[in-house]
Amino acid sequence: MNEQLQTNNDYGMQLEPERQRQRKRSKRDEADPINLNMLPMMALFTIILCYLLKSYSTDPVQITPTAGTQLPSSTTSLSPQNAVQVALSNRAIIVDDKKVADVNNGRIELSQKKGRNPASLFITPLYDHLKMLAEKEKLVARYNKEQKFKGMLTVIADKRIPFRLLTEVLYTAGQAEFGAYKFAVIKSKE
Amino acid sequence: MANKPSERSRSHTKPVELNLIPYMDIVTSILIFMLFTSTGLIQVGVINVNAPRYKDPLEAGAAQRDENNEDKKNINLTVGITYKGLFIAGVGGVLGQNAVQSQDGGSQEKGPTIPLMLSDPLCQESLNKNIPPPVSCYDYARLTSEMIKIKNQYPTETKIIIYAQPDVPYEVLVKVMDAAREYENRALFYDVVLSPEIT
Repeated sequence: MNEQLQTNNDYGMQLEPERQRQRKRSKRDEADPINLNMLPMMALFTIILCYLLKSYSTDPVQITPTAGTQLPSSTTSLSPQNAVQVALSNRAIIVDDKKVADVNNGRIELSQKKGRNPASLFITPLYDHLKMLAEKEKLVARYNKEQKFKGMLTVIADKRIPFRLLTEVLYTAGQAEFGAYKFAVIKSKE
Repeated sequence: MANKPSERSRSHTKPVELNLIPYMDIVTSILIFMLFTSTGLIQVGVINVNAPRYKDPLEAGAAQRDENNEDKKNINLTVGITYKGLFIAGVGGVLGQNAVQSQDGGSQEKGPTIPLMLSDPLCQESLNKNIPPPVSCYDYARLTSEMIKIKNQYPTETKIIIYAQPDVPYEVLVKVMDAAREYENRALFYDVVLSPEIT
């Protein structure tokens, strides 16, 4: 009797709840697909991206220490300016991304010093390169009044290099008409 | 208008949904790349230093003239960084040397104005061996207080000459320049001139 009722009454009372359930389920499936709300994350990413792009573009001077170079930290508030960059590490002296002299354990190799004299402060290959750059800048300054030759040098030095090496580099730069030095440091509050 | 129940399943008014995944891919890639390569979070600054009056031992005559041209009115405030500590000197002589007793007691050698902080055994060890001590051994706070005292006496003076022993690390030099440059937004001696090393 019951079986007959169920089979005959396709649209009968007993089947109604199941249909409703099905319909509800399908509605639920439609309404709630696994839907992550990405918009806040997108907003966040876009903001960080804009910030990074801006910090890239507004920095007129890019100082990128070579691998293994640790800059000292300082409380200075001055920002870098456009100048010839000399990077000093315990391995080499690099002027504008070009290696000009070898450093061995904080000492310039004797063959690169003037007269092969260990007491000399003069580093010959560094002088030659800086002199060439100075001449080039002067040539530009001659035709472009806005670009004066200031003899400015940014020194990007590893914090572990000895004072002697710094002295030699600055002395040599002074001979090549670079007289204003800017020591690159990492800005910190303390 | 609402659809008929029979048409509900075939509804054409689907909500417009942008496929953001490719965009997300690109943004995430750029972001990670930039975060890794960025130096934007590390602020690089500079310290101004003037051309030092060096004299090459081979060309001693040239630098001699410079020394004669030195302005006599300056107090020529000089800070020396040695393996034993910091020396502060001016035209009148070296500051505070009498107050410091020498380590051996018997030797007549005058001590530095600001000796090393010997609380760290490494500092004591380097002092005994006469080698460059670690950066933290120098008393930068005391140097600043000494600089403030000198600045109070000579308010218009801004020049400071800094010299060091050959193997003193560059970091110590930067820290000494920091200590002498300013204190709580009051400019002290910011016009730095590096001097030839002492041996």
